[in-house]
Formats: sequence, C-alpha cells, structure tokens
Amino acid sequence: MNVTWEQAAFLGFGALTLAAALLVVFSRNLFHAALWLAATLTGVACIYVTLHAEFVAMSQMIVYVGAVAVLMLFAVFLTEDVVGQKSRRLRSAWVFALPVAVAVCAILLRWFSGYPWKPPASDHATDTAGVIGIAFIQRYLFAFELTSIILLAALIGAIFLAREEKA
Amino acid sequence: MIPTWWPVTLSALLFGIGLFGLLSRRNAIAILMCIELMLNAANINLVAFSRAVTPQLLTGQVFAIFVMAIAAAEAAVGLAIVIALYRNRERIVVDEVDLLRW
Repeated sequence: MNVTWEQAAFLGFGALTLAAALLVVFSRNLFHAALWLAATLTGVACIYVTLHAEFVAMSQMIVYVGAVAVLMLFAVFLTEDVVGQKSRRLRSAWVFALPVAVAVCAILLRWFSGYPWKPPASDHATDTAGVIGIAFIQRYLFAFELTSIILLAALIGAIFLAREEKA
Repeated sequence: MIPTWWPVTLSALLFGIGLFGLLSRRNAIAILMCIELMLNAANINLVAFSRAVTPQLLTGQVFAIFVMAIAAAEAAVGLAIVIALYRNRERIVVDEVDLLRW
C-alpha cells in the first residue's frame, strides 16, 4: 500500500492527538492536563488541515486553543489543588468506567468497519472560507443569529455565576 | 487521498478516551476538558463526512463551526460554575459535591 504525504501526515497527527488525549485523562497535575488539552486541540486542527478544512482548522486554533484551553488554564489557576498531590486523580469507579468506554468504542468501531463509506470527493471546494461564509449568511442565517444569542447568553451567565458576591 | 474511515476511526478512539475521562476523573475542570475531547471527536466526524457527502456546500464544516461556538459557550458557563462552586465549598472534586444527595 502506497502511503502519500497526506496520509502520512494524517496518521502522524492522529497518533499525536490520541497520545495527547490520553495524557489529558491521565495527568495527575491539572495544569499539565490543560496543556495537553491544548496539544490535543492543535493536533485536531492539523487533522482538519489534512482533511482540506482550512477555515475550520483556523477556527479551531483561535477558538479552542486560543480561548477554551486558556480559559481552562485560568480556571486551574483560580482553584486549588493545581499540582494534584493531595488527592487521587481518578474516582474509584474508574473500573466501571473503563469497560463502558471500551465497549462504546468497540461498538462504534464495529459499526464503522462494516459501513460502506462514501469515498471523499475529488472535486471538493477549495475556497472553504468563502463557501462557509456564504452558507452562514444565506442558508444557515437563522442558526447563525441564534448562535450569537446563545454566545451572548452564555457570556452574561458566566459573568453572573463567577462574579464575587458583595453581601 | 485519505479514506473516510480513517478520520471516523480516529474520532471513535478520541470519543472513547474522552468518555473514560468523563466517567472517571474526579476534578470538575478535568471533566470539562474530557467533554471538549468528545466534542472534538464529533467535529472530526462532521468534517470527514463533509468531504465525502457535501464537498461543494461544505455543510459538515459549517456545522463543525456551530459546534465549536456552542462548545466555547459551554466551557465558559461550565468553568464559571466550577469557580462559583470553589468559592462556596472550597472543593471542586465532584464526589464531594453532594449538596442535593440525601
């Protein structure tokens, strides 16, 4: 089987993503877990690039790595137990969680392996940002506006919840 | 050309890792991180299907952007709840937050 550069890049970034995701789950130090989360999200952005989704990859870098992962880091700073030496990282129920996760994963892979996947089209749109932008202001205008309302509501809600109570 | 089942398999594995973390981590922030992993697994699928099913309209990529926006909102509200919880109870270990349990 001939492996092209694209496929090699996908396999490499996929392996890095999975390794970083495992480290997110198993890091004792919460600060390290947040940094590995940023690495995982960057790996997923690289996966998007190999799948020819450049705009989604850039959004992933800005929204996830730039905002969500940094938000996680701030939350780690603002709460105690950063180093994680004081407490166990996993609940005692992890022995039940492991078979559940493995079973879900196995069922998904079982389904996926038998499914006749459509091969990727060779004539996909190259101007992804343009096509997505037009979709946002035409076909999905309502969903787009609704998303902005959700973001505004989440912003106000987050400020309200995290605000210091002045009793 | 990357066959469609490659990203789908990657997504299933990432989802499994996220699910295990979600069910087994004790720290509330770590649980939110695992939710982000699972949302990313869903997004990989959307982008992969977009390439196979709607290569010209890129519908899957549009929805991946929507998922991203909702995930950012979820992370902001979730972390605000965690910080409010820490302020009130000094702990963010989910096993010990049993205010409503009797």
